[in-house]
Amino acid sequence: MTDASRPMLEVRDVACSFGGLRAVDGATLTVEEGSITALIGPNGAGKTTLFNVVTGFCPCEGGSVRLAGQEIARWAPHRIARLGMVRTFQLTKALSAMPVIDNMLLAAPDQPGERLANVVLRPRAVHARERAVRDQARELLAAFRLERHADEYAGTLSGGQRKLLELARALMARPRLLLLDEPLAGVNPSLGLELLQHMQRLRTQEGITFLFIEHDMEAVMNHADLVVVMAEGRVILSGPPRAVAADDRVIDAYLGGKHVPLEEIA
Amino acid sequence: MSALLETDGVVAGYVPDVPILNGVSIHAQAGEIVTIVGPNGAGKSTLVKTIFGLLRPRHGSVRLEGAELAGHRPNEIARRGLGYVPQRDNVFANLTVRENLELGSFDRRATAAQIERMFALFPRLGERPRQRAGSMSGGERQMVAMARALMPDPRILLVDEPSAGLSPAFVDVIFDKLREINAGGVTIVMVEQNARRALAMSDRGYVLDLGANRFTGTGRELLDDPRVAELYLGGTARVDASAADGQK
Repeated sequence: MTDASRPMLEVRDVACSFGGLRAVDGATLTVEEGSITALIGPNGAGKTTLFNVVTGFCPCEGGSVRLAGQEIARWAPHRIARLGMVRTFQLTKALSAMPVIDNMLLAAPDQPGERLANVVLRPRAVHARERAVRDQARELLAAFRLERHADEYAGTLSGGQRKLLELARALMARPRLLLLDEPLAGVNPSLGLELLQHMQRLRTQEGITFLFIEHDMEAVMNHADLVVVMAEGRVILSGPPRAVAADDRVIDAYLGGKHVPLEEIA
Repeated sequence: MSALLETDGVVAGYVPDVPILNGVSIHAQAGEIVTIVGPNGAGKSTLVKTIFGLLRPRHGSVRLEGAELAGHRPNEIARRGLGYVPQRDNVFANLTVRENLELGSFDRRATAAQIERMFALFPRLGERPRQRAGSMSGGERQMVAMARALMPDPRILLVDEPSAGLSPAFVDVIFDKLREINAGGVTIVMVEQNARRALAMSDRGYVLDLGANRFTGTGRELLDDPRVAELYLGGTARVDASAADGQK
């Protein structure tokens, strides 16, 4: 991380409610460019809903969301993705009736072949881009140990493999900021470690910024520069991993100090 | 002593000619906690689904106290004393906690008493019997799913990744509950990616890879085996690696 870091994502006082429940209730946080920021908090704290709000999947009630300085609150999800903020889902959204490789190709932006005129008038440009996209897809599938399954239907992948496909597909979109919703849940620990190292590499080599929700504290403490803690729809704390891990509120409400009775855990 | 539950050379899969399991043999003695770990796509969930009758084995057998289960339907298998907690979508989101539990019951006369027993085991559910399961947090849903599977008083509980997606505090709670359920006499066969935690509380474990048995042993033996640690548990050098990361 450079000293001259500027905010990649600035979220101010956003709120979102459904069914009378105020799932996000005035949350504010900043993600620095080139950082790996972790978002933690008890189940039901509003972490996924916050992702939904900033990526345009849930209505944003007031507040502001800025991506690299650009106000994007209430934009449609596809416009936000095109601006460079791409996300994965906790419950994976693989297109099961499509082969794994096609799931990947579909996510790549700027494909001249999407326009009929180009196919006719600029066939070489279309082919060149398609080849590049396919190579990139194969590379990513290899990195996540899915290359063996490239031609199988995505629906035949196991739960953990779908998570990996989801992440690989998000990377195909060439994001500036990647939001990952529990990337490690259900992923084998050995592969999980590789995945975290891959994330570090992408940050260093390609300058991708990461914001990830995760319950695996070892991953959070060892791989995040900054940890943001949510509870009951608000950000209650943020800071370097060590400071957050030492905070009493976090120990009590989240890490489950053994003396805390279950009833107090939200 | 013969095993309570046993699979023998099970071959199974979803698509014709593409087996996910290529001959898996595991067993569980009465009262044991047995954990199945392995890489993504190894066939762990498929094995549990096959035991529960959601898939029919193409070869091999699944036996409960020596009696063949392969080819029986899940409802028949449940009646013989197996409970199953799926990996996800494991509650009826539009139904209340109580309704979810009622659906798990076989014997209507015993339903009320069983629900009381589940509320004693999971006091958190007892406090909110009329809440819709879909509006509950991940940890609470996992409790609903476990309680629903326990309603018919099974002898064996099959649990697929009980800790996935749960906050650390809830992971502790769910593992404690599984221990408590086991102490009450229920044999537990679980699939877990939180392999270190799960193996540490297990009598025995199996490592599956590419649909076949790779390693087996007591939980302790597997945790201490450097090959298992390297290939499946995230490596033995994990502590060192994190120390190095802290330097940057």
